[in-house]
Amino acid sequence: MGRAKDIIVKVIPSKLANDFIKKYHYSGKVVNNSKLHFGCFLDERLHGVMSYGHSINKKGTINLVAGTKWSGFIELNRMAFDDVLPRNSESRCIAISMRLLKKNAPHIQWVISFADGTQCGDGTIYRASGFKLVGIAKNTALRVNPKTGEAMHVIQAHHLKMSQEFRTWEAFKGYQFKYVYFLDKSVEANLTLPVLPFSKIDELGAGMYKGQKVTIEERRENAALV
Amino acid sequence: MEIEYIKTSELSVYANNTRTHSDEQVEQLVQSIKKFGFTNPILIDGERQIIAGHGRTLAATKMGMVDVPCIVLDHLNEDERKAYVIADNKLALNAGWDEELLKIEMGALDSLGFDLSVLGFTGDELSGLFLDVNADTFSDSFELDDGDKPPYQQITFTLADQQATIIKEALAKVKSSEEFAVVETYGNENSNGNLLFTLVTQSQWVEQKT
Repeated sequence: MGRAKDIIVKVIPSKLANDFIKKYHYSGKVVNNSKLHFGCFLDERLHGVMSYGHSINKKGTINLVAGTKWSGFIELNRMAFDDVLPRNSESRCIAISMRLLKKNAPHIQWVISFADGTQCGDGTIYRASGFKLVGIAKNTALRVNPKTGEAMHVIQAHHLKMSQEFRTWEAFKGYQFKYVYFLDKSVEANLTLPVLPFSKIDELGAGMYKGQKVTIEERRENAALV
Repeated sequence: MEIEYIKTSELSVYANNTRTHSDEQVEQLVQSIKKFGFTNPILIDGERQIIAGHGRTLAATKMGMVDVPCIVLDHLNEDERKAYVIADNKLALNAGWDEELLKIEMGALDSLGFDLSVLGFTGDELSGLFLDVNADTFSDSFELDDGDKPPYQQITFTLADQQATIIKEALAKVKSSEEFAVVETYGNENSNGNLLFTLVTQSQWVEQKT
């Protein structure tokens, strides 16, 4: 693990988190729903941010695990790291944030997160952190505004009253991945979607890592060569 | 000193002003004026030529302000005016920051939800201030709401302007009705919501269809 064990994770103010996200997240955008921000520090400097908050479609998402109470789940809706942190840091930071959630918010039973396999990745860090893969969907929700070249999500288009235009825009090619992590293992049996094997990603040709289309198998082979 | 409000169109810039104002800095001034108001009058000579405050004047012009607060410094002779144009800027630049205190103050403002972008720092300066911090400054405890779903919801409609006008008029009429005074609100304190509910539940059309 090397120096990854020296990383400290603390709750940080939204301004600090959002500035970092804008600078280091591939989208350059923050999520307004984010309410809880963890900063990842090494040598007294901030190198990573994980932002949690409620899901935009909370009513729809809550049904993912039957019997979940209104405040019983949270979404990890932004995660960004600079290039300074050592190997395995991301999964260590997630693990610490999960421990802090368990300690400070024991009513939260599970965490949902999405990986964007059109521009970023298929969720390597989530898989390494013990998340279950519960959905792979061809992207239709993330589209490019032809006038500005800017990416926009269907929900964002709705809020900006741009839904009609949005329907005419081209969707980014690729897949969206839905992952869930159980803080309370006892509710895992209430999952209403089947857990998908990670091999399904390669079966669908949906693999992506750091914005490049590449299968999980190819990544394994490359890692073995290093 | 007396403050006079003078039309921006009547102010002239000092041709040899040595201070420069980028578009970005003028925009920062615009945001500051929007947030805090025009708190720092322009200093001008008796001919309404600017001595100090070129940036603020540019910002005011950009904002479409017709007049701005000014202080006339007509006690300065030409050499003194020339010197003060430089001194006013340079003396301010000679001040420093207590960076630790600055972090604390800005952290406090941030935690109150204050928009730090109006303070005049660039994004990189803000990041620098906060990124180079000791993790001990922050806590690892927090609270998250564990309550049930609030028993209220927002519904958004898109209406043609004509439809919106008719509906607003209808709601205004409902407001003075006896039905509105006694309608069941279910604890809802949103006036428009209760007006709409009154309108729908008291409508003959609804009665006929249900």
